[in-house]
Amino acid sequence: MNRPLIKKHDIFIYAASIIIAVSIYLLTGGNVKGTTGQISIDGRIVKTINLSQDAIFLIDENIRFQVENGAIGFIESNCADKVCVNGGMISRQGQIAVCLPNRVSLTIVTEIEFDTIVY
Amino acid sequence: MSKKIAFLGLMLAIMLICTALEHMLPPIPFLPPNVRLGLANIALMFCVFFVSRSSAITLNALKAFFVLLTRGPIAGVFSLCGGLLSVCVIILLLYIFREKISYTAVSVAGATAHNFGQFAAFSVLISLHLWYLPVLIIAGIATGIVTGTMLKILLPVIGKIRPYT
Repeated sequence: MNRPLIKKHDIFIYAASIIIAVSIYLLTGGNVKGTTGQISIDGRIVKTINLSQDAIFLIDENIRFQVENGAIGFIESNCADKVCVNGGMISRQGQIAVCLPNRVSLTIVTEIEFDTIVY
Repeated sequence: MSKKIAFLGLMLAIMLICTALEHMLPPIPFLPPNVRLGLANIALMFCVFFVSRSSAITLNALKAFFVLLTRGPIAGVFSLCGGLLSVCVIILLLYIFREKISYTAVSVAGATAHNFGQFAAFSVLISLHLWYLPVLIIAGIATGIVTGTMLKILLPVIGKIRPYT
C-alpha cells in the first residue's frame, strides 16, 4: 500500500522505454516515406493518390503528375516558370510541391487509421 | 466465489466508465489525437496490486470482449493484444523488482506495453509504420506517469473498497 511515488529502481523502466524509442527512431532515420499524395487546387483537395502504384495522370487538363517507386511529382505543366516540374519527385512525409501560377499544390501525407488505440 | 464474480463485475464497470469518460475529454495537446489517457488502467493496476493477478487478466479479456461487442472485431483484437501484453509486463516486473519499484514506473511500463501490443496487432493486421512506434512509446511514458500518479493519489479512497476475502 505504501509505495512512494518515485523509487530508485524506476530508472530501469524509464531508461529501457526511452532507449527502445530512440533506437527505433535512429533505425528509421526519421526519414519517413509518405503513403499518400494529396493534390489540391485553391486549397481544396481534389485528388488523393496512393503512392504504392505507379501511375501517370492529368489534373485540370494542363498538369501532368507521375507516381513512380513511391514518389510523386509534376512532370508537365503549362505554367511559365516550370518551378513545379524542376522540383522533381517527392516522397517524404510533409514534403510539398507547388505550381503557383496554376494554384495547384501537392503534399505528401501518411494515413494511419489508428483510431482504435484504446489507451 | 460469488463475491469474486461481483467484485470483478464492479471493476469491469469502473473500467468501462473510465473509458467512456475518456472519450468525452478533448485530445491531449502535443500528442497524436488518437492517444488517450487510459484511465481504465487505474482500476486494472488496483486489481494487479491488491486483488490477484489472474483476476486482472480476466478483467482485461472481459474488457476486450466488451470492445469486440461495441466497436467491432478489429478494435477487439487491438484491445486484447494491448491489454494482455500490458498485464503480462506488469506481472513480470512485479516478479523481478517486487517492492523496489513505484506505482508510477509500473504504470509507465504497462502503458508502453499496451501501446506496443496495439502497434504489433496493427502491424500484423493492417500495415507496418515503424516510425510511429517511438511516438507511441513516448506517449505511453507520458500517460503512464499520469495514471500512475492518479492511482497513488486515489489509493486512500479506493483502498476502502474491500476486495472479496
